[in-house]
Amino acid sequence: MNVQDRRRLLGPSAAKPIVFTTVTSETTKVSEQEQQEQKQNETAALTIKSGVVENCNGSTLIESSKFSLLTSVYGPKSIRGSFTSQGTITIQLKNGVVENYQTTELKEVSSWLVGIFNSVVNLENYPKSGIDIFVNLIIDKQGDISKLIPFLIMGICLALVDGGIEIIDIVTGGEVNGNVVSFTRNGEEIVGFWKDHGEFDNNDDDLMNDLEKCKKQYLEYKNLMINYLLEQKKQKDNS
Amino acid sequence: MSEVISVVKRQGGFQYSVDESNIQSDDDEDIYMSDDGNARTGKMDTGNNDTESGSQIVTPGELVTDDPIWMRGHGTYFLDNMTYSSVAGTVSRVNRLLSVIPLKSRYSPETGDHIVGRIAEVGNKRWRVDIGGKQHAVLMLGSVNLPGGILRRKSESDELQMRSFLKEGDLLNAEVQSLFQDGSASLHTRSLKYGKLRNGMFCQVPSSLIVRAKNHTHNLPGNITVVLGVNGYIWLRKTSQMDITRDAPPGGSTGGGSSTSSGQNSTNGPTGAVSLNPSITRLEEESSWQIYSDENDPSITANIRKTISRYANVIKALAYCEIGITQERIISAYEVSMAYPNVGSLIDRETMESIGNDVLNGEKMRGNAM
Amino acid sequence: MVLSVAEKSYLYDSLASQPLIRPDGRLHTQFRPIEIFTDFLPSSNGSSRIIASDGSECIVSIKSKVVDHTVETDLLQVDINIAGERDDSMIVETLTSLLHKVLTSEDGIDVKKLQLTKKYSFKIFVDVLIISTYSYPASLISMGIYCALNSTWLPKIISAFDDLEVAELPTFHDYDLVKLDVKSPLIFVLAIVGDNIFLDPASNESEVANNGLIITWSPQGGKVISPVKTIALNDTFIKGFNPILLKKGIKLVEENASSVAQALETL
Repeated sequence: MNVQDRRRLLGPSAAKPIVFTTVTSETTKVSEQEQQEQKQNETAALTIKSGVVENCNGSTLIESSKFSLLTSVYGPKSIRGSFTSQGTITIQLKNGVVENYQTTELKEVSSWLVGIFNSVVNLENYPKSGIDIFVNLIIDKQGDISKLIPFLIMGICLALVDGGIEIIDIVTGGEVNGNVVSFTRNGEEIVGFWKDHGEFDNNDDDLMNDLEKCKKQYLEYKNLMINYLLEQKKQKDNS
Repeated sequence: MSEVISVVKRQGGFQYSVDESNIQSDDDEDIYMSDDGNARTGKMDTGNNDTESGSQIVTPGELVTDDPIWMRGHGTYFLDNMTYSSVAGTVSRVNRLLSVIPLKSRYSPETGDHIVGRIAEVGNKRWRVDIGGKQHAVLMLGSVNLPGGILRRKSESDELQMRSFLKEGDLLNAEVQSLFQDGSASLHTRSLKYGKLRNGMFCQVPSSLIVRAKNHTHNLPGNITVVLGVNGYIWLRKTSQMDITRDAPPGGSTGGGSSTSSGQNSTNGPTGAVSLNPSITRLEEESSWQIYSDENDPSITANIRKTISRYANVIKALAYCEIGITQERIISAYEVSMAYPNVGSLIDRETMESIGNDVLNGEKMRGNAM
Repeated sequence: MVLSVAEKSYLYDSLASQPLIRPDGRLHTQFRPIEIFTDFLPSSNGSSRIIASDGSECIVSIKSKVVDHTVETDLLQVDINIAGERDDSMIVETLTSLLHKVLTSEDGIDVKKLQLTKKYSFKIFVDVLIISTYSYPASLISMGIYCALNSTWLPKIISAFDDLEVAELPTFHDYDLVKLDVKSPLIFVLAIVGDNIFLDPASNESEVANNGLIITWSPQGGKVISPVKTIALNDTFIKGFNPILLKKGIKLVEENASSVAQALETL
């Protein structure tokens, strides 16, 4: 209980302390090796929510135990100046509270992402317009941008869908051993490849193996995204 | 030297130094002037310190003459009665006009020039065309052939409709109709030999290497046509039907290969009039939406593409050796280049120099040296 | 570079045809000729100027500084300047980040060669000035850095190697120099058009490319190293490509990179 102390800023006199209920959890036992394999191949357990930011055209929040990303899309809005026959995409990445990444590295990733989305967005339908995408890396516990990239792509894709911007296909990707591959068309086409540190798989077979594993992850994430979008539509239809 | 990449290296210097032996001392006295009206027709070898009539080289500030009888043209200025040069170049005396033509400068448009230009901007009832000059040229909406002449009456949604004809980036060939006060050019494409360019490739050489001639569109062996814009912009394309008829001998005969695409007889028009070269006259009937199409001829074969690449490389070789570009020289250089079966080997400096030398030697031997 | 729709369509059809036909007739493994000048900056330990046949030009300067390597972890610093671009523009920052990764990659520059004593090493500052460029300059920059480092001379140390006990700074010979023996990795830019992939795309080829690859090669290890990534060479023709082309591109680099490195070596 608060004793009235005029030298300090106190809360209301009738304030009560917050009480948390005790959490009980059950853990399943998995062997070490299985855990390692699972970690490498498994797709992370994700939480997705679109339409979270009010004043932009489209937005998505993606969270897992290791990170939290917020993507917002503004556009299409008109570009002043000379005529452009197709739309222009800009992407900006922003560090969260913990400054994990240097601005130069974030800019390198942004320009690589612009390349991917230039292949995916139907830009001919947006002449004289610009689409601005902002991604806030709110929480990132891993410190390795390569591991985040598949989810950056996922977030931007869902935010574009939320904003009603035309795209030719759902795009996302997978990451194995530092190799990040982004696919479209059910894994038949690569729209982006990224490997920026670590040893490169010179062996053809190793590279193909990693590509296959990334493709598996891509297909799982793509399913996840499609299920989410269908759920959203169902909810909207019901309400 | 590996086949993959050719590297020229030099250690211990920022650039190749000027060879001291080439510099001759200069007299500052008045240069002898002759009244023979010799106009400079084209650039040959640079660095020629020839003081014979017609090709003296002067530098800015050098006294050209103190004779007040001369009209002073471009590249000169005068104080009292003395005419000085304001650029580095050759003196040109044509009739009573004295001017100094700079050795290197941007293309300067003259009325009647056949040029190749690229649309830079779409504006209010006009297009701004990049011709490599000091300013963009202007192509007025009324100076182009419009199918059916529709736009000339409307003014709304001008910009969008203008883009459906010519948009930013489009290449076209045109003629300089007139010059504005400030020296910029006004173009027109009011003839079927002008208009949007397609079915080929663009390349560029310094404008001083293109000689002003009667004709700038030439048919070359290998089914290729070249358009040598006076501004140094060049278009190489697959020879079209119209290119063949243009070069066909006139005379209204039933000579082969001169029928137009509409299947009409070359001698009789719809009004029954006998015309000699129907592809260039009767603009209204011939103008269709086709002339502004962006689609290329689907039947361009791999051989034609390789031939176009070869011509582009030999033209660049001639430009590298600073040889004036004419139809004869291009054909001569092409024949010389056939000694190199791989078109890609023509980009090496030594190969380019060797081709240039062969072309000039060939001319000397044939007695054509200018 | 601005091209008309008809020009781009002609170029695309030529480059996508089987076998491919490049506008200047080059083979898919053929580079354009380059000119290199080295050793001309008197206040730098090494310098190079590289001029490509399309007029692209780049100057690289190498400078050094003695640092305590137990304190300073980064012994390589790259700084890129493109004439006419702001220092915080996308292209400058992207290239700086890429070049930094290339030089500090495993099998990149061997920092052990920079060591002077147990406590001190040379720190190398690589400054790149791109005077003009008409296509993606990564390859040109890497060749410039390669030649600059190849002609870098550093002061010769005369004090002892083991200076952990002694509290003195390293001392150097008054005029003798030692040639720096490190090889910079080379960056190769490839363009993908249809089912074709080729090296050293010119600016008109880049304008119609469906995609591009940046592949780094280490002369030390004689193999492809990271970073390897896709790059959009234009924003109009960009689209996805068959994964087989990624394999093909890596193979192209593996087969031709050593010839390029050798050509850069011979003086």
